[in-house]
Amino acid sequence: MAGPLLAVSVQNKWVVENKEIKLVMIARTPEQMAAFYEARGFPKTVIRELDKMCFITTSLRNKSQDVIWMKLANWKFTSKQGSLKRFHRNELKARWQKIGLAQQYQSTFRWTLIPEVLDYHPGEREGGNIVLQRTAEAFNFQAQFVIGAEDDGKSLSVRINNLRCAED
Amino acid sequence: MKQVAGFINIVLLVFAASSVWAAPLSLPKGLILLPPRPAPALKLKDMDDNAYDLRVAQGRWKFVHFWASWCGPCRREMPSIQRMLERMQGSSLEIVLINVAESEDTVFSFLASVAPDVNSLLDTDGLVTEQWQPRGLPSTYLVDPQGNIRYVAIGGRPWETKEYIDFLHALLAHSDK
Repeated sequence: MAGPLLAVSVQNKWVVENKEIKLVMIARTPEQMAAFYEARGFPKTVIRELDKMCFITTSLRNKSQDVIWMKLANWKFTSKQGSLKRFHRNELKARWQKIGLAQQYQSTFRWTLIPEVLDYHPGEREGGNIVLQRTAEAFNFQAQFVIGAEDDGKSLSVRINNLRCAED
Repeated sequence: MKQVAGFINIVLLVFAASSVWAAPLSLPKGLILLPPRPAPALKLKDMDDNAYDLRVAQGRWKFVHFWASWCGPCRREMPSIQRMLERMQGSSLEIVLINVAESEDTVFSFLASVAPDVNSLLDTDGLVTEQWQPRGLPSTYLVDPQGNIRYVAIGGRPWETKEYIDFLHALLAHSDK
């Protein structure tokens, strides 16, 4: 079995590519995220919440001729302290509902997240944000994908070392 | 003998008709054929405050497109949709655009700058879009005359190109038979 694919990194951006996939991760600064959501009318209370989170904009392209299954449940972020918390979209939804965020903003926020599960068709590129607990430490990322329409084909492993949340 | 010839003619006609239906359309890149499923309800207002219900287009093919101005591929695709609209003018294709959870002002200024002839429905709270469950934005569905989702397009597509226009015309031609 082949070892995991490793990333090439350039300031706040990491790229993993082979003949089957291209995965790009870009860490966003709190200012970038605040600017994006403020421009869409998000209230200050939400922007302050987002400041405590670490946003990684992620794009995945299926370069193969087969379906590739992506499941965020198979994506692990770990630092020296152990597993790094990733906010599930349902957890974020509950948080926004609790503070009474208007439905339109909840919807926009959801659409900026990468789906929890997606079967990437040949040539398909989809992406969105991953939301992690903000940390000043470097952390590693490991993911497993399955190649095959029925989610039962060979496994593809990806690893990125020394990711960091972006600072202002 | 006349009866036999008539029967053969009917058989040939049925065969010819079924082969037209059965002949697989050549799918343009990025279009996926789906197992038919009923399209969710779609009742929204457009930018001029006119109410719209997708059911008015029952009996025709429908092009249902979800987009937002903050989405890069949506911005790139919109001019192509405007050109496709021009090329499909006079056809029976119902073209429906749905903006996802943005304000009327945002939608108006965006479309005025990139696709001034395009009108869009406004899903102001995003709840109709949730029902359709697009894979991402942009997303386009092709809904058959019976109201079933039959195709989905992956991401932004060059809709105005010959490959896609021919495909859309072929769909309409099939349903007209």
